[in-house]
Amino acid sequence: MMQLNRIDSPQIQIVKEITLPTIDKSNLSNGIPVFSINAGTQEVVKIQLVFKAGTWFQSQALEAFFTGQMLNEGSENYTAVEIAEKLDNYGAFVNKKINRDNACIDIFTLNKHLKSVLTLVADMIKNPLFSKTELNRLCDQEKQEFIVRNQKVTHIAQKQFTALLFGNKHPYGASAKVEDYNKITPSLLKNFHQNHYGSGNCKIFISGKINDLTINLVNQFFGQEQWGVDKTIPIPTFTASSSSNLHHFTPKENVLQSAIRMGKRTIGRKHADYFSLSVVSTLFGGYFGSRLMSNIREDKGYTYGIYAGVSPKLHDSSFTISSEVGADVAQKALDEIRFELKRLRTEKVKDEELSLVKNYMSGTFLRTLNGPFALGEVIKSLYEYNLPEDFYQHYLNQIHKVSTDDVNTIANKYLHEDEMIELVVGRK
Amino acid sequence: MINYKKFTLSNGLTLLVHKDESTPIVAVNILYKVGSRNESPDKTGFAHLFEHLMFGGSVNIPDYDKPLEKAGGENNAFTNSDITNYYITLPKENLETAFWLESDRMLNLAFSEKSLEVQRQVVIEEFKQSYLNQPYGDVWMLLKPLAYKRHSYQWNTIGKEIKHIEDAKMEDVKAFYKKHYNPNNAILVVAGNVEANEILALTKKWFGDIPSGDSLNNELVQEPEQKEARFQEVYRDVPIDALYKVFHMDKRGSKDYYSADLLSDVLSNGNSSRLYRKLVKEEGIFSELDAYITGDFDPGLFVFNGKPAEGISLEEADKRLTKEIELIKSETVSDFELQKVKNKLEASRTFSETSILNNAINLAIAESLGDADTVNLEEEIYNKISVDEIQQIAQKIFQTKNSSTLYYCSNQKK
Repeated sequence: MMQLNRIDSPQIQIVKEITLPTIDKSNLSNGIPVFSINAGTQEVVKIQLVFKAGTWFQSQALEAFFTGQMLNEGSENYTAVEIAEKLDNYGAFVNKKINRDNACIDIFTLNKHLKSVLTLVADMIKNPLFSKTELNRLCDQEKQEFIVRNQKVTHIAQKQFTALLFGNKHPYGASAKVEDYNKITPSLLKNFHQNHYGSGNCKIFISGKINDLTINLVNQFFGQEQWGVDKTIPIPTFTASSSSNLHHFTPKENVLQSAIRMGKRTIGRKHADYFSLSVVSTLFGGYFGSRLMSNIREDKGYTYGIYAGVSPKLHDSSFTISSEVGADVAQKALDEIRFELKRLRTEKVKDEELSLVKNYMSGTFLRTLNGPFALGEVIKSLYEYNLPEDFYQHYLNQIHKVSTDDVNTIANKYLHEDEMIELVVGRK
Repeated sequence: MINYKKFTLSNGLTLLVHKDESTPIVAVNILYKVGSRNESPDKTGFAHLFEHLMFGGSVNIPDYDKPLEKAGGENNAFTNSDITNYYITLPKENLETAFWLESDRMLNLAFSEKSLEVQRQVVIEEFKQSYLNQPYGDVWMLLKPLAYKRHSYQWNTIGKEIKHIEDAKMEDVKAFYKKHYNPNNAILVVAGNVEANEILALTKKWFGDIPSGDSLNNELVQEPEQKEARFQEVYRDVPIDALYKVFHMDKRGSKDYYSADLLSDVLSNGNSSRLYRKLVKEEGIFSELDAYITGDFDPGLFVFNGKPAEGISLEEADKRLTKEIELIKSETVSDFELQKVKNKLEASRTFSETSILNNAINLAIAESLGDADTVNLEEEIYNKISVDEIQQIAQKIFQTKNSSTLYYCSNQKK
């Protein structure tokens, strides 16, 4: 038998092109656009209703959040107890994800219960009651969780940092305060629901093992007539402004670790440099072997983890470095981060490192297409963020085009260490 | 239903292959039957520290992560009281890279001083981040020694104290590896669009010549029956009080274990569950309340934890919770209540099965408990459990003398 070569890696292949499964596009009878993807082997389905009803559209803090959360708490035909009982009995889940831009209602169910689940969920979404008793209880519960979260350095840092990046009046920079939990009323939520939840402001995404019956049922419950707000709602405009002071420190006594944030506003998915910036930020802090992890965790042991990345949103985007580090080494960690940022601009990256990052990103991309529901999320992001339909078809291609020179150019253009806003919460 | 084929190599390595044609990704999972329960009391946190060292390079491959990332792969690992589990997902085309990497670190590690020194520091930061610098982060460091007096479950996987991590020596590390990281103490699972015979050939090629280790006597000191209720009260810098109550219960995989699992679901799984509906929603005694089981391989714990609503004292909350626990002992639950949690379980299982990584991990865990087929038999076991059995298990577990209660008080209110 030939001696086994344990020294060299087996031959690898790099996937540079993929074919995404077909997206079926249709409209319900009332015009709601539906995007569906049939995949997977289990008899399950995920239906997602996306409304332009994120915090971008609210007039006061927590308005969008509680409007979404209250959908479970009683509707015209079902009490809160009945809703909970029925959903549990079908083994279905309804997740309400209210982010800065959108409100997304995810319904997960076994196919065999789809009709029963839609009967219930359609009423929850179209005809919620916003009962005062249920609302008060939910506010109290959420308030307690908020108070606990607010003890964590990482949470404080996250909130303060987005305010530094976008301004605390901007929807991407604003965050709730504890007193805001006492200002939510049923009429406020009713009003927000009336103006934002409806067939005119809705897109539907379906993934899992689906067939004609699935679409027919969705049409039966959401497509028959106009419901709720029936026309496209205008999108308000806000101007973001980053803090002009670059160094910020929020002391917190008796902590063992300090939270660090460093970053700036940056370009989004539609910019020509977006793919290159994604590659550079992954190389810098987006995977386990990144520059930041190799230096600050694996060489110095200052932290359990340190990450950097671009978070693209609909109207604006940001680049952020984040970590929790031993409080006595916070300043050293900051110095190392700056050192790495400068090195990224000034030193030429080796081919080997760059190709490793690109290969890693190809694999990560394949992983995001793994499983029916993951596919659904990918498709949804196309339409949620108005991206060209071939955006992901070209993704791998674009990633692999980035050159070693591009890395320095991009770093100089977008990631200059002297332009980063820095925040430390804790001790330093 | 998770299909699989099982093989055993002559060196004792168990191989399971699960075929799923619908994904371009394969999952490679390797479970070592060693956890913090196998540590000695003066060297705790070792199994977990060791998990970190497994990424510090092996005898022929100086860097574990880079070649994997280059092949488009990603990996992670977790350690608990019972097992240490490593997993990789990567494009199917590059599957052999995973075999090359995993077999080399089973063959022998590089054991560099630098890696040990850095990972000690990383684990200490993890200790701080997850246990010491978090509100309520040290709860299990209090609860475990309260509930366990003899069994090694009395310490957490992260370790009893930071000092044990600081004191870890290279010779201890090597001895630990030699004892536990052997093919006869491991289970390999490969899941994806793969053929079982090809995977078997690859497994023989890469793992076949790794010598087996001594067979292990894993007999651990078991926890004697608890004879009286235990209570502890602590003050911490948290904004809100919290209540914890734990009871000893049966070990994972035993018949009563399944009944206890359903009992915990009746009490607390979902917004229509008893505790949430009554004590959170209707009466407003708690703002948060959970009941769950730890699912340990040796007899584990049935746990209640909750935060009293504003204006409710820990004593009041405790009293009301106890009343609810007494109720489920004295009256059978309704058929509907039981059927509902069974339905929910069926749905959760089906959702989980959409992920090949979940399937791979679940197969490995079931096999390490004795039989991978359990993943497919459990549904039937759960479905047969009756309302009477739920009541009986509640009566068996929820005895005052079997309980440990922790009042975790806010010193901001003092």
